[in-house]
Amino acid sequence: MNCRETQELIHGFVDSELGLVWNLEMEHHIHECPS
Amino acid sequence: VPEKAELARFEQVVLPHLGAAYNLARWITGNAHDAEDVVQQSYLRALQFFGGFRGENSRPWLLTIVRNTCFTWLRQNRFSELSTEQIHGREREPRDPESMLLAAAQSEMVRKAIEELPPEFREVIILREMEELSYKEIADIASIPVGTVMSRLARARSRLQELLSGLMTSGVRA
Repeated sequence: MNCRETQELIHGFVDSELGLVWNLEMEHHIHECPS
Repeated sequence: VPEKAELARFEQVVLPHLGAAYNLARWITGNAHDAEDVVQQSYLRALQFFGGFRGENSRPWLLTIVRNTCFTWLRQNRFSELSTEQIHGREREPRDPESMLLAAAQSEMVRKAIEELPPEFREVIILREMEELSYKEIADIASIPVGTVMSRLARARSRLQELLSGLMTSGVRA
């Protein structure tokens, strides 16, 4: 997952609406992303 | 004319959502009086089609009817002419007069900002933030894909933030 995709999904993530797989992808990106 | 048993079931299943129906109609029409008319029409429609309702959760079903009735009303009554009538808040009472004034000012500011949103943005904000519906329920009500709910909500929140910043800046200057 890249930063652009993260931006697109951030509201769904905050609202807990993404489902398990996307949530894990988001959490991984948020923890690992240098920017 | 629905049977007595059907009417009783309607009262039990649909009437408890009157508050949510009015809230959605009030925000979409922007007018308390029109919201009452829209809700009345919506309930008549709901009663008419209640025989076909087979789901377990009647709230999204009813809100879909309210939403469609609202947009029919908007098309018929030109959105730009909507009034900005004040609604009564349901917030908890703050402790002191200063915080009461502050809370009232903030509430008024949020109300103004929401009223300035385009109807499709206002709709998703109300359904999500006030009615606390899931993306799936909003998607069903508005007949749009879940992905569109997410992007529309993102744009609506962003627009709301801009509007609130503008209102706060003008409030500080005033």
